[in-house]
Amino acid sequence: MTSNARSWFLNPSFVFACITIVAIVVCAIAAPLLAPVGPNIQLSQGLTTGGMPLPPSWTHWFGTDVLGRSVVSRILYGARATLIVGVVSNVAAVIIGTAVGVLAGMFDGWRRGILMRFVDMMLAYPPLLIAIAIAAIVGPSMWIATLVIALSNWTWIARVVYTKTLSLRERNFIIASEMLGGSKTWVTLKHMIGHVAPIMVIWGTLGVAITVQLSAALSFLGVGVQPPTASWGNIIYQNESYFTVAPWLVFIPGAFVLLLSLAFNIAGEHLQEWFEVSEERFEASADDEGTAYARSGDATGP
Amino acid sequence: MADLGQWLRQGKTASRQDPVRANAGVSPVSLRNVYVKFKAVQARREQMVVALNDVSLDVKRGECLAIVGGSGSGKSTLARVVCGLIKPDSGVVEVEGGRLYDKASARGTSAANVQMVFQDPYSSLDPLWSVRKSIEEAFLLRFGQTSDEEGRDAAHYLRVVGLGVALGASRPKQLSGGQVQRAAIARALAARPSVLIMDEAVSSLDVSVQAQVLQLIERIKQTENLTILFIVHNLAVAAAIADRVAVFNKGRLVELGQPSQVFKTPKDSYTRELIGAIPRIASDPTTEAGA
Repeated sequence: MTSNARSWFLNPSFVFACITIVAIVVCAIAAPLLAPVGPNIQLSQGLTTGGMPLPPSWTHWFGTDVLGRSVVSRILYGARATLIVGVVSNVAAVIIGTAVGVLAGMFDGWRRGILMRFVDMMLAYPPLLIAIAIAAIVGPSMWIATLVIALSNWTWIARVVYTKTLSLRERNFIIASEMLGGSKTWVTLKHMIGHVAPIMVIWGTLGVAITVQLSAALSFLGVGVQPPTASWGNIIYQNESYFTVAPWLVFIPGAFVLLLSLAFNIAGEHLQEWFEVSEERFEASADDEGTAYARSGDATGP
Repeated sequence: MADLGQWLRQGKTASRQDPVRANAGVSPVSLRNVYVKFKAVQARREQMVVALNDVSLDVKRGECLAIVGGSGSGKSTLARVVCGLIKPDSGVVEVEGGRLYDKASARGTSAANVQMVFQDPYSSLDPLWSVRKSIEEAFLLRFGQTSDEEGRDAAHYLRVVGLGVALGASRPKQLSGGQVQRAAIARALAARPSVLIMDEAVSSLDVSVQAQVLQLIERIKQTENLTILFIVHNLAVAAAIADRVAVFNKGRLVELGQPSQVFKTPKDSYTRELIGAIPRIASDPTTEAGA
C-alpha cells in the first residue's frame, strides 16, 4: 500500500468507524461469552418491588426491561439479528441493483425502457407499507424483514449503476473491446463489473446504515424480528410504553442503532472519497503525457 | 480445451490471412454512395445534420490514406462507419469484399479485419487493466489463445511498437501519453487486422512524440502489411505520412489524390482554404529588430 493510501486510511474518523463496526460485530459473535445471562432469562431480582424495570447500575449496566431481562444481554444478542437483517438485506439489494442497473445500461431500446420503468415503479412504492402488507399475508419474521428491505433498497443502487454503465459504454476501451468481437456479456463481465465495483462497495457500506435503521423501524412496527428473539428495534418496540418511566429502554438501543449507522456512513463516505480521488488520478495522468519519460530519459522512448 | 483453442486459432488465422491473399485484387475498404445523418440539437431546436453525404471511396491495398478536413467534416463518422459502429442511412460499405451492415456478415467481417486507434490514448485502454492484459484481450477474442501463448505474443507486439516488455505490467496511468498510444497500437495490431484506422491518433501528443509515433506507423505499415486510414486535421502530418489524401468538407469528399497534387495544386476551393489557413512562421523578428 502506498504511503498516500496509508495516510488516507489512517484518518481518525475512518479508524473510529472501522473500530466501531468491528467491535459491534465481535460483540455479536461473542455474545454468549460476553453476556452476563441469556437474552430471555428473567432475572429474579430484575424488577423493582413495584414491578418496574431497574435503571442502569453497576450490577446491570444497561438496566433491565419490562420483563426483568438484562438489557446488556439483549443488546449483545440483538446485535446479531440487527446485523444479519441489515447486512444480508443490503448485500441482496446491491446484487439485485447492480444486475438490473448494468443490464439496463447494456441493453438498448425497449428492453432498457422496460427495465428502467420497472425501477421507477419499485421506487414509487413505500417500503414500510410493502412490509406491513407482506407481513399481514405471510406473517412477520426476520427473513420477511430482510426480503422487504432488500426489495425496497435495490432501486437506488440500480439507478446509480445504470448511469455509470451508460457513461462507460461511451468510453473508447469499451468500443475497442466490441470492435475486437467482444459480446455484450464479455464487455459486462470483463470491463463493466470492475468499474461498477466501487459503487457496490460504497453502497454496500452506506446502505447498511440505511438498512439497519429500516430493520429497527420494521421491528418497532411489529413486522420485523419477532420476540422473543432480540433485535435493537424490537427492544424499543416492546418497551416504548414505558418511555416516560424507563427512558433508557428506548435511548440505549436507539443509541446503538445510531452508532452503527454512523460508523457505516463514515466508512462509506470515506471509501467514496477514496474512489473519486483515484478516478481523478486516472484522468490527471492524461495531462502529463510526454513529461514523465522526458525527465526519466526512458530509452524505449515515449 | 487446448485442441479447441488450437482449432480456433487455426480457423481464425486462416480467415485472417485469406482476405489479404484471396482478395488481393479487392479494395480493402470500399464505400458506395454512403449517406449518414444524425439528429442534433442546435439553439434548442432539433434538426438533422448530414455527417456523410453521398461518399464513394475505394482504398488501395497497402496504402496510407489520410482523411483531412475541418471539424464536423465527417472524418470520424467515416471511421466509425468503416468500423461497423454506425450504420449508414443508405449506401454500401465493404471491407475485404464483405458487405458490412448485412445481417449475415456485418460485425464478424469488420471485427476480423478492421481495428481502430483512438485520439485519447488513456481512454482507449481499460484503466483497471495492465497493458499486457489489454493486448491479451485481443488474442482471447480473436483467437481464443491460452495465457502462456498470449504472454509470448503480447511481448512480441510490445517490442513491435518499441515498448519495453516490462511495461506490459503497467497500467495506462503509469505511462506517458506516447507510451499508452503505442500500447493501443499494439493492441490493435494483436488482432491482426488488414485495415487500421488511426482516428486523430497523434493529435493529442506533443510534437516530438508525434514524430516518433508517426515513424512507428510508417514502419508497421510495411512490416504488418497494413492498409491505414489516417484521420488527421494537421495537413503537415498528412503530407508526411500519406500515400493519398482525401479532403472532406461538410460530409462530402471534395478532393482525392496524392499529397503533392492535393497540397501543391488543389482543385477544390475548400482544399485551397484549408491550405491557406495553415499558419506561416513570420520572418525572424530578431533580425528585424537589429536592423
